[in-house]
Amino acid sequence: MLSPLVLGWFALFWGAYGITPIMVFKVMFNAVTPFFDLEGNIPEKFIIIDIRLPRIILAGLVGSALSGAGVALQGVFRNPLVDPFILGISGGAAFGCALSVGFFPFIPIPILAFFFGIIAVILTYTVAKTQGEISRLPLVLSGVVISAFFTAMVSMVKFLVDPHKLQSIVFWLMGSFSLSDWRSVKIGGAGIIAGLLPLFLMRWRLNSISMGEEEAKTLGINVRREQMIFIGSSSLATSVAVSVSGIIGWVGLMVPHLVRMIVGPDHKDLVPLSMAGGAAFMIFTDTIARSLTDFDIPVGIITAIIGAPFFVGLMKKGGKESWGR
Amino acid sequence: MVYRAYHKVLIIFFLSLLWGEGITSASSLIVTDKLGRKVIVEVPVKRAIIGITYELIPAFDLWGQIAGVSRWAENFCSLYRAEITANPGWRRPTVGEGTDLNIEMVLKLKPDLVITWTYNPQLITFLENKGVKVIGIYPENLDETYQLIRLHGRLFGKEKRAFELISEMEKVFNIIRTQVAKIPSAEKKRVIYLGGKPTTVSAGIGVTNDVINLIGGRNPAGTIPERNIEVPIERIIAWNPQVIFIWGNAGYSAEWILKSSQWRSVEAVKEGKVYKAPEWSTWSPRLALYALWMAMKVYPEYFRDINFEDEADKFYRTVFGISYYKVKAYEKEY
Amino acid sequence: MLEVKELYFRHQRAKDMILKGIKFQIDAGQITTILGPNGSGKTTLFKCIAGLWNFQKGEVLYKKQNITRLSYAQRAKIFAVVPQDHEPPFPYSVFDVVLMGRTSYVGVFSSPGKNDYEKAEEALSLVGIEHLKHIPYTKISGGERQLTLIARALAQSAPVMLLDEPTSHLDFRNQVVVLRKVKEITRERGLRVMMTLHDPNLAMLFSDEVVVINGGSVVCTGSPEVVITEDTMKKVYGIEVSLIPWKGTRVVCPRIEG
Repeated sequence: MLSPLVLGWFALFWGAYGITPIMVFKVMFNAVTPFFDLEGNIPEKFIIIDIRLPRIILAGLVGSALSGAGVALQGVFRNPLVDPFILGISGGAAFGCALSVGFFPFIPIPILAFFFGIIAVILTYTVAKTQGEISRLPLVLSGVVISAFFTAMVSMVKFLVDPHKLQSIVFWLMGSFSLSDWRSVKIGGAGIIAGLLPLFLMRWRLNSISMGEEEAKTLGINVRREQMIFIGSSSLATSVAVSVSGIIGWVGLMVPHLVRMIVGPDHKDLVPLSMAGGAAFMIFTDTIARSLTDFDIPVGIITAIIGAPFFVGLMKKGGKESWGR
Repeated sequence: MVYRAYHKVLIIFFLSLLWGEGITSASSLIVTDKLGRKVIVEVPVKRAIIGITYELIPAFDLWGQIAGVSRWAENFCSLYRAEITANPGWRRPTVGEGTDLNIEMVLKLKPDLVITWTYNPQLITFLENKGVKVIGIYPENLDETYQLIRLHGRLFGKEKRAFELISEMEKVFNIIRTQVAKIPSAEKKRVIYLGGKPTTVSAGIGVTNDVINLIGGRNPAGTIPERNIEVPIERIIAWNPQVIFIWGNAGYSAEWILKSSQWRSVEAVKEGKVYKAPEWSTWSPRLALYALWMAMKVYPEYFRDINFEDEADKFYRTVFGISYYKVKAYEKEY
Repeated sequence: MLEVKELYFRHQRAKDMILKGIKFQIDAGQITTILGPNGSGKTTLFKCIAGLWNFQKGEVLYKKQNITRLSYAQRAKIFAVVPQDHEPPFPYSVFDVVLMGRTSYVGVFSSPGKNDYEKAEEALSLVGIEHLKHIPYTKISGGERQLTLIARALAQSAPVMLLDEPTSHLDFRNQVVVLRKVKEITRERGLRVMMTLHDPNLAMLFSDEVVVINGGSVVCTGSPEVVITEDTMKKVYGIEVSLIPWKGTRVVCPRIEG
């Protein structure tokens, strides 16, 4: 569970600028208590405190948001094949962000993102429900459709908006941490923690909910209400994550799976470990994305490249049982 | 008597040949475009659609030979806006974005030729399949920009004009070169050019890199053989540029960079030398003024005798036939 | 005492009542079987009593208290439901599943505490499946799964247990094993147990009282010997049977003619 902190600490040492480990240590120490004599405002200090640190923290927050939301949604929908991206939440959030940047700058981005994220998942659920009992395939298909719809809507916004704002939308939709600063950490942190907290506290109930709606009711769960809390919180965490870093798919699907294969499906442990795993994974991949080459590779590419083969390998080892059914 | 009349006709005929413009009879031109495609065009072109080189329209006085332009001409080009406001009859239908032309509109206008950039090769192939001739362009340096101008000259039967445009540009470039030659190598400054995103930098390929070199700057990203690259902020800080230019159409301002807590250790930011370029196309004669503007920002001491607006006005009147100040009124600040 | 009084139910858009005036009662330590063929309304009745479907008319009372307006959590402390076997989406361990029974005692924002773990252990040993504790629920036999669900119901510490066709997916051996265990714990814990069955022989062997229903109405109520007769079987199942006395009880044997 402490892995994100450990990884985050190590990630501080990596970067294009080339800072000696001793310097990193000195700067960090000084940040807490001024002890070492660092001459004036040297660039190392800014790089570590203003660039690397917020980026690492933000990556961790976003990673845990996506994985936490992913594991909760998998439990609520009784389906290991869903994540916030598949269910359309990311698409709706992206649309909300685009609207906010393009047409309604006076409404803070995360709020519109959240609003449309929730609408997206409600739509997904409603469309899937027309098939009767919500089973696996209709839900995923419905999510794909709704996601595609919102993607098209984003395109429409891009088309209609003032060209100078257009770029902001385009670049920031692409899923990257390259412009992370303390401001986005504060906003992101607030929203993501607000979203993840209910998920964390209510995590054990996901066990019962995942057994089936009727069964959960007979076990004493107010299914409608608790589902709404789970979906709402997941959407909040996801939407805020999208509003600070763009769309990063794959993490919310994969990390919960991996963690589940390792520690089992009991949500009491699964949820916090997924969140930590997501944070660690995101920090790891983002560090690679920014340090591997001259370029700053969009992190979504790295998550796919690392995640996919690893996932396939684990699946082969685990076999069918590790999915549950 | 007939003999003398015959002479007169011959002399007039030869004179008109010398003149060249507008009187040449139609002929074919084979063009190899940036994508390597060979396009056979009937010249002079009578109905062209210009996707991105719209600044050449006033430069060559092509108003009568243009069927349509991309939206970018009206949205981004102060020059075009100024011209069509002064002469409403010159306004042409718009056919979509420069990166994404509206195929239907293009077909509707039945152009003889479409000249656009190669950003979207599929679009070009598609238009080709529909029987439209397309020339794709994407200049990688100053030379290719000159070639581009000459190409337009040949396509529209205005070769002489192309020659004139280039010499006007060279006049301005020479002003720059003369001064830059005086700058000792050790004093040459590190200059970077940012794109649509503050972390997108112009690298080794492209007109902006050429310009940076021409004005006596050193592009730290110039060793990377790409057009534009996205880099982590740390890399920019490591390069520590002394002057930063921002693309005129970027969505952020110089002030944003100057105020950012993450950029503050960069020398350019410390010295306040972050500038947003004017919203001008660089694939146009205006490139020369663009370079002059940049040069004056990087080495103001060497260009103290030059009044930019005077030079610009002279240039505009000769090249575009309109006053610099008139056009400036149409420039938007972002 | 659990009382069901004059229960009427129909689906929202339907015109006709599916359940018409069902009534019976269950005392402590007693197993009541709802017996009837498919389509008789057994499942509907089950869902109404379990609180899953809202019925239009009638009452369900526990110790004279109307349970229809209780919250899910409150209701779960009175009724423990053992559903038909199904595959869960994730491979929870047997212990995890049994622990779920404690949901109504665990706060919405909390996780189970020491007491809950103890109750789950207790339930496991009462049912006799402690050895399966850490095995994934998906890897045990159908009979063991049914026993797990019963253990979960026990962990709910609820005075009433409702079992929905507990034997329908079980093989011959497990049918006996499971129902024997149900009888055992009913007596030991003094529970009021209602289960739906369609096999009259099992009803005969394991019930204290039988409510025969058909077409949504009660056909007859009473002890198995009284209620399960050749006549009733013919009326409800439409087949001829012989009731063969055997060692103090009777076996229902379908008559297969020529």
